[in-house]
Formats: sequence, structure tokens, C-alpha cells
Amino acid sequence: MGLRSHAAFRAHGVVEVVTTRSKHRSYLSFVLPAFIIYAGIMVIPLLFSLGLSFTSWKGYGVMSFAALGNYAKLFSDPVFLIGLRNNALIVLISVFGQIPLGLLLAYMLHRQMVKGANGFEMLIFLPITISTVIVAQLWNRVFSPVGILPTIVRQVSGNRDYVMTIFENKAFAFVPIMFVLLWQHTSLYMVIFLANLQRIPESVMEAARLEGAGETAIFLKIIAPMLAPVAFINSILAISGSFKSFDLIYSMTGGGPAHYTEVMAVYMYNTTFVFQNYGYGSAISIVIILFIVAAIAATKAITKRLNLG
Amino acid sequence: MGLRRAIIVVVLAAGLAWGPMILAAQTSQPSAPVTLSVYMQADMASPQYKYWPVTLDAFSKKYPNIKLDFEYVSDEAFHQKFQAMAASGDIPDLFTCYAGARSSYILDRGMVKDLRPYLTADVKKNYNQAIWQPQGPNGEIYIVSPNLAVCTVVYVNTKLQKQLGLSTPKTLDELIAQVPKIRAAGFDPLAFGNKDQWQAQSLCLSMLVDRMGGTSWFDKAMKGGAKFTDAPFVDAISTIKKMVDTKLFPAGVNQLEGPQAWGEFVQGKAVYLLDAGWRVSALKAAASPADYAGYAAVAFPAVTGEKIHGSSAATLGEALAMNSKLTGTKADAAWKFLSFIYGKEGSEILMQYGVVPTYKLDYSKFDIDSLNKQYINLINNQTMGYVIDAKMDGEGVNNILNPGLQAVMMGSKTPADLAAEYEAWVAANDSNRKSKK
Repeated sequence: MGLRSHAAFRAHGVVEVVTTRSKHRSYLSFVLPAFIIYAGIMVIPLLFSLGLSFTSWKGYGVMSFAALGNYAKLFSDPVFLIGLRNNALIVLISVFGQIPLGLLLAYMLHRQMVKGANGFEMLIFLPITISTVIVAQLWNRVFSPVGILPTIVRQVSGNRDYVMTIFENKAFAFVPIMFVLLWQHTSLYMVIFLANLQRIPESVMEAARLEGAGETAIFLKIIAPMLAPVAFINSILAISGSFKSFDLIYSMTGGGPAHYTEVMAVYMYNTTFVFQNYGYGSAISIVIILFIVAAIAATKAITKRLNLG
Repeated sequence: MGLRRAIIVVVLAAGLAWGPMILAAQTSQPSAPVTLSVYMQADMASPQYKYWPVTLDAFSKKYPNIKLDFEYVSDEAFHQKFQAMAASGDIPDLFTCYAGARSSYILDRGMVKDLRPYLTADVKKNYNQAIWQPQGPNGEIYIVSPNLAVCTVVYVNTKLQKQLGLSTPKTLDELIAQVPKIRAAGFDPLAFGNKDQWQAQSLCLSMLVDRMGGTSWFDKAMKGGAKFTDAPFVDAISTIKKMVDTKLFPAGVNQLEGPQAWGEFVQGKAVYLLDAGWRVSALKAAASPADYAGYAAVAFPAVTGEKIHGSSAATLGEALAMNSKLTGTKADAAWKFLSFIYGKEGSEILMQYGVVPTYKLDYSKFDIDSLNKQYINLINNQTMGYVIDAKMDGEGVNNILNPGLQAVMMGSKTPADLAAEYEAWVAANDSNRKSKK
């Protein structure tokens, strides 16, 4: 190796180092702002909340250490258990109600099974565009004892005492809320499915039809497998959204009557910010996060096992 | 020498004579402008606060040297921000304060000035004496409440009553006896809504507990000398259950919101309305003048087994309080402001806007409608029991008692079970019991 080539090699090495540094800088300049924001609004509050969950802090004064006391109390707290049950019901209606119904509606619209598909699409999509508080008020006006539905039933049946007693039944009080959730959120999944259905080449369907496949076979053998990853993403959205459910229930019933429609997030909010029981409230929030992570992990595992993801 | 002495004596005498007078003059009218920061819980867009700019205008005319720097925050957001301020130890000169657990985050930290040094007998005699109940553990008075929140009033639609041939019942049993006739005519007997959960406790149970046991029993129960499993509390809950079972309340009372309930009364669909004293102005705004003229305000009828007759339950409305750190001219200016807005001048303005103040006024000077006259007459002749949620910790009331009352009303819990559940929570957690230990 001559002197000249050695110098060239060294120069090349310097250039490489400079390029690597420059790449690092550009990488950091892109990542750092997002990382700082994420850490500031997600990681640090989460760690703070985790720390608080081991205390019995009232929002002021001395923070006394409660060890696992808050977590132990949670699973014998009847209100939390009602909330947990209702959150599980929301997961069920989301995963087994909203997603299949969204897929069905998207398929019907995509395959032009109804006339005026665009009009239907707009109608179905409308509920998701309305503010949740408005949705809650709207359905309150329907279900209330002086609302539209009981008034109509009273007129028709002649029973002047008719009210929707389902709201006063501990086991079924949550059913009308599940109906509203189904009504409001199905359209979101429908749109996601519809967008992905439109990406499936028409030639694939044509080929299947030429091979003699019927509508059911096309759906089961072609469309369903191709949409499985989308269904998985929808399931993650549905599960995380279900455990965080707050706005509709808070506005519609506030968790009442008698805690029958309580959900974990509403209970967490009241415990933390209304009763100023920051320790216990933080423990509820940590448990909500753990449930979301566990449910998503389970979904991922099931999807992997079924070879859908 | 004699002259020098004489001059010194004269100067000293003049100093002694004029010093206090100069100080007094400075106290009554600060020469230099004083600015007070005020953090107030109010929604200035609400018609409820229409009187407030008028009050401030009158104050600034009388005391041009006292400047006020306001920050208005409404509802729960007020408390959330104030808690953060309290945690930092830096709170404004004047702020909205409640005489109870709702403001514990500043009261427990000693951040609120005790007003007793300002409250001479001459000052106190001008007010409804119910507002001078102790507000702190050592008899402290933190606020001069401008209004007494009377929580139980029965409003009567006298036109409907006459139409059905009924008279105002003296006892609850008489009221219940009217139910079949009222329902047969297609009306609801007693409009009441408890969807928001607090109404059954604040507007009904508190009064019934007072009727059954009085404030002396409640004082004992708060401190652990009596229990919430005792007869006065259980009997009061049982009375509410009886009211539901006899169909005194509308069907679905726990699904009915407060405004929907009094809306039904205004629409002439119910003969009676169980609501709070502060509902008068809303009834006036919503009802036609002819209907409104036919409304009457009466006490809740007598209940079997009651020890206190004709009482209601009341709590002090919130008011501005002073920062405990205020001294000198600032404290003086702050007291001038408080004694103006809650004194004669401020109360007269309040009265002009239809709110009955705790400051005693010559009501003949005001154009008061029939329902307001009856209401003033009613509350001036009633003893007032405690409102439970103003005395007990919020978590126990909102998480156990209020939903528990709904469960009792819907038949999924017995009065005794609820009483036992609430007593267990209070014994383990309530600050009233802990402060005794």
C-alpha cells in the first residue's frame, strides 16, 4: 500500500465517521422531539401514577406508603368489580358486535348488495361524527322516563307507569349502553374494512367466479383471509378503547343508578379527582393499563396461532 | 428649659391624640390604592351572576382605592386548580370557600383567615343566626355566607290541588292517602328526580334524619357517639322507601333528572314538587305568571316518629374568604370588600335579583312575589337540620350513601343494610371520626 493510497484510505475513514455522526444527528433531531413529548406526557405521568398507587395520598399533605394495600382492596371492592364486569361487556360488544357488524355492512356496501350504497354509507358513518356527549344526551332523551321511547310505549300500551325498568336491573342496566356503543362505533370499523375491501383487486374475485366460487366461498376463502390483519388491528383498537370507555357513560348515566353502569375509568376519575383519593385512583388506572396490555397480548397470540396476523 | 419641656409635652400629647385618628383614617380609606387578587368560583355567563357586576360597580364607587383582580373558574375545574395552588402554598388574597369538607384542602392547611375578630355582636345580629354555626374545629368562622341553601321545600300547585278537591296534607300519611285520587286523575303526586343521586340524600334524607334525631343526634353520629345504624338514620331511609312503594314519586324516579322533575311540575303534570329552596327563581322563570301565582311553598309534612317538627335541612352557601396571611391594609381592604358584598349594600342588590340573602332586610322595600314571600316566611320559622353531604366526607356520601339510597329505592338493598354499610365506611374512613381519635 503506497503512501497515497494510505492517505486516501484515512481520508475515506474520516469521511465515513463524519457521515455517521451526521446521520446520528439527523436521526436524533427527528426522534428526540417526539421522544421528549412522549416521555413528558406518557412515560413520566405513568411512572408517577405507578408510584402514587403504592401510597394513600389525598392530593395534599403527607404521602403515606400503602405498599400493595390499594391493589389488595381493589379486588374486594364491589364497585370496581361492577366496573370490571361492564368493561368486559364493552370488550365483548366491541369485538363480537361492532367488528363483525362493521365487516358485514362494509361487505354489503362494497358488493353493492343495497341500492343507494353511498347514502347508506353516509347514514351509517354519521354517529361517529357526532360528539359523544351529544350522543349521550340524545339517547338520554330517548330512554328517560319523560323521553320519546317510554312516552310512545305508554301511549300504545295504556300503562301510564311504563319506564325502561331495564336501567333499574343490576344484571341488565348496562344493555342499553351497549346498544348505544354498537350504534355509535360500528361505522368506524365499517369504514376501515371498506377501505381495505376496495384494495382487493377485482381480478381476484373475477378469477374466483370463473372457477365457479359462490358469494359465500368468495367471502370465506378470499376476503376473510385478506382482511384478517385488518380485523386484528380493529380488535386492538376495540379492546384498548373498551377499557378506556369514559365519555359516553359519564355523560349518559354517570355510572348510576346505584353503580349499575359503572366502568373502571369513571370510577377511577371519581376516586382520584372528586374524592381526592389519588393513591387508590392511581392503582385503578394502573390496573386498567395492565388489562389493556394483557388483552392486546392475548389477541396477538390468538391471531398468531390462527395464522391470521 | 421650661419652654422646651412644654414643647415636648405638647408634641407628645398631639402625637397621642392624632396618631390613632390618623391610623383610623388610613384604615377606613386607604390613601394608596390596594390591589386584591380574587379567585372566584363562578360562571359569569350564567344568569345566576347577573347581580355581580352591579355589586362590583357599587363597591368601586364607594371604595375607588381598592382594586380587584379577578379570576373566575366554574364547577370542578375551580377546585382542581385551587388544589394545585394550595399544594404550592401560594393562594390569592380572596377566594371562594365552602364551610365544610368541600374546601378541606385549604381549611386543613390553615390557609383561611378566621373572621371572628371582625364579627362583633353588632355585625352578627344583622344576619340569620343559622349562619354562625361553627365552621372549624375551634369554632372558627371562615365565611359570611350570603345565602342559606335550604334543601327541602314542598311546592304546591294550588290550582291543581283545588281542581282535585285536595287540601295541603299535615302528615306524610295524609299525603300518601291522596296518591290514589291524584294518580286516578292522571297526575303524578310528588314530582322528584334522583338520577344524579345526590337529590334523595340532600333534598329528602337530610331533612328526615333531622326530623327523626335532630342535630344533637347527628353531632354524636359524626363523632362516633352514635351510629348510623341507629333508629333515626334507618327510620329516615325507611321513610324514603315507603314514599317509593306507595307511588308518591313518579315511576322511574332514579332515571329522572332534577330539571325533568320540576319541568313536569311546571307543565302541570304533578300536584306537589319536592325540591330545594333555590328552585324558586327557576320556577318563576319557567312557569307562566298565572301558574306561578298559584304556587305555594310549605314544609315537608310531619312524619310518624319524628322528634323535631316542621324542620328542613340547610347548609351555608359558599362565599369569598380571606387568605390567612393577609395583614395590615390588605386585610383591612379585604374585610371592607367582604362586609360590603355580604352586608346591607350587597344584600340589597342580591335581593333585587330575586335571591333572599342571609342579611336581614326590610322586605317591604322590595317587590316580592307571593311564592318568595311564602318561602321567606317558611324558612324564617323553621329549624334547620344538617345536610349530610355538607357534614360528612364526600367519598362516603357519594360512593356509598347516594348510590345505596338508589338501591334501596329500587328494592335491591334494605335500609338496614345501607345503614350498616355506611356506618362501616364512616367508622373506617370519615375525617369526622378520625378527628375524634
